[in-house]
Amino acid sequence: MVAACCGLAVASSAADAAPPSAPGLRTIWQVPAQALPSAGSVAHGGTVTLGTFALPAGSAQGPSRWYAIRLRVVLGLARGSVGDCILSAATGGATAAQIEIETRRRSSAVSSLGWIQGRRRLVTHAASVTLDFRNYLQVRGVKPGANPLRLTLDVLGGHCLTSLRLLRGSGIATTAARPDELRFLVPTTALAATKGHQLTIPYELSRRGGWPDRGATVTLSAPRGWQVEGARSQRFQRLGDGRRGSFRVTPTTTGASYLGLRAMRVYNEPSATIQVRVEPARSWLSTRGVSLLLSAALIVAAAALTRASLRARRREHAEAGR
Amino acid sequence: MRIKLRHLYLVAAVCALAAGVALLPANVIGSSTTNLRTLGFGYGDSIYNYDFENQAVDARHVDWAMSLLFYNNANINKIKSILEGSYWIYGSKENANLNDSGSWEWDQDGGMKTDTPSCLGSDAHYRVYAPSASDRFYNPSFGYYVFGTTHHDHHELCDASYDDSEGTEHDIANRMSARGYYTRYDYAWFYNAQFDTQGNHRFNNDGYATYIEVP
Repeated sequence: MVAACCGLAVASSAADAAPPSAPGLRTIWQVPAQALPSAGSVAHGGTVTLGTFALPAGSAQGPSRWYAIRLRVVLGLARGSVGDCILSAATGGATAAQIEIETRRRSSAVSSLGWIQGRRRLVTHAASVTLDFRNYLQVRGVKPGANPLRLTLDVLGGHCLTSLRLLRGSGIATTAARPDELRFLVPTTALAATKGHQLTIPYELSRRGGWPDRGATVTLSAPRGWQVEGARSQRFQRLGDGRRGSFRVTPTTTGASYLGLRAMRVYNEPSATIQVRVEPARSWLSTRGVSLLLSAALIVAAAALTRASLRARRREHAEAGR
Repeated sequence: MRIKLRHLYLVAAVCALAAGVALLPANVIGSSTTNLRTLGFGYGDSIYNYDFENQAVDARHVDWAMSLLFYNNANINKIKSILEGSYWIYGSKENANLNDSGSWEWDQDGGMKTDTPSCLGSDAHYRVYAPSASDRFYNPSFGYYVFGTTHHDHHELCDASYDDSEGTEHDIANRMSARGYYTRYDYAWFYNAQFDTQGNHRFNNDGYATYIEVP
């Protein structure tokens, strides 16, 4: 409804070619090899056209065939400097990839958001990171005829990249899986945990049902050293409208940690990230000591008050007796 | 005599309480609306059409009407960076309730203002909201997008008052348009038209949000 009111909707196509026979991305166009080096020209800001892909008459984003972008890129991070930049890619001016790069004195953070891989955030001390980003194109980013693919680096402040290298395989792919065929619902606020104490990680995998119900396998990735009770993968033979599940983990490190859930090789291959804040385990005395001390003080004070009031009452009685 | 004195104390306490409540700034009591509702933007994305004073969905404690939508290649940091030449001072934080494809969550933003708070001056103030974990929404209809509220602050350090959400919305639309960004002022009906005064909080919102395409 909103898309129509904004003039953003594109009429769906009856002339669309037959959809791929299986879910998964099928590459239909790759950035030409001779254009790959040109991506490096935006490492310090700017825009470059990587090429143009042609689509047949009647092409549109959905409902039977969906177009997606794939960016395979190596980012050289400007270690030691402070900066905030956004690397984006657009087809016909409609942005489908947005990767935020924040460099700080000691580390860098690279975050992305899309309908295939979900929210991703990587904090690293490394000099470079390799990304394989995939996302559904915007509705208005798919048009019959020529569609230019442009790469842009917006420098919001400071200095972020020393180099940018686009890899083979970057380009445009199609899938028959709807953008939101499967999605994870997970806690959006950080879960609180204590080191050495078991924690339950709940999730719900919801399904819209546009494809045959072939089930899915949910896989957990936990920080190194964390103990996972039971298997790290949970298989659902059928999903129906959705399935709920949970994993039990025991943190062995403290601070902020991230756990990942993913359902690979099915539909839109959704993934989700869950943040956990782990506090160090404290001894019984250190956690209860203060409250015990307060309780004892209160009891002593109450006893003293009772005694004082009893004495006062006795004195009053004695005076009244005289 | 003792009983009379007790009555006097009681009356004085009630009067003091009433005076205290009357002197509370309107913001503490809370601004209310009868227009509070959710808006859907496709693919499961939705928002409430007002931001809130606290992290609780409560029509009696709203702050301002949602009046801006930045789309295509928007992002909280990017919008603030684009507008930082004019809007450069941090404001106090408010809260928006957002649903990013399946679950409702809170985002908090102080936004940016055109001037420092003072006793005599005024400033334009906007806040921008998106799921806090990613600082933007994405869906195939709008691309990367965020929402915003707008208003003016007056005499914040003395007799503070707040109004003119339309004026700041118009100012931001003009600034973005001047940069060459495709701007549609008062483009979409957000069901939050409100014209009334509640304490020092004066609503004058026409209910239409401005859409700005960020390249």
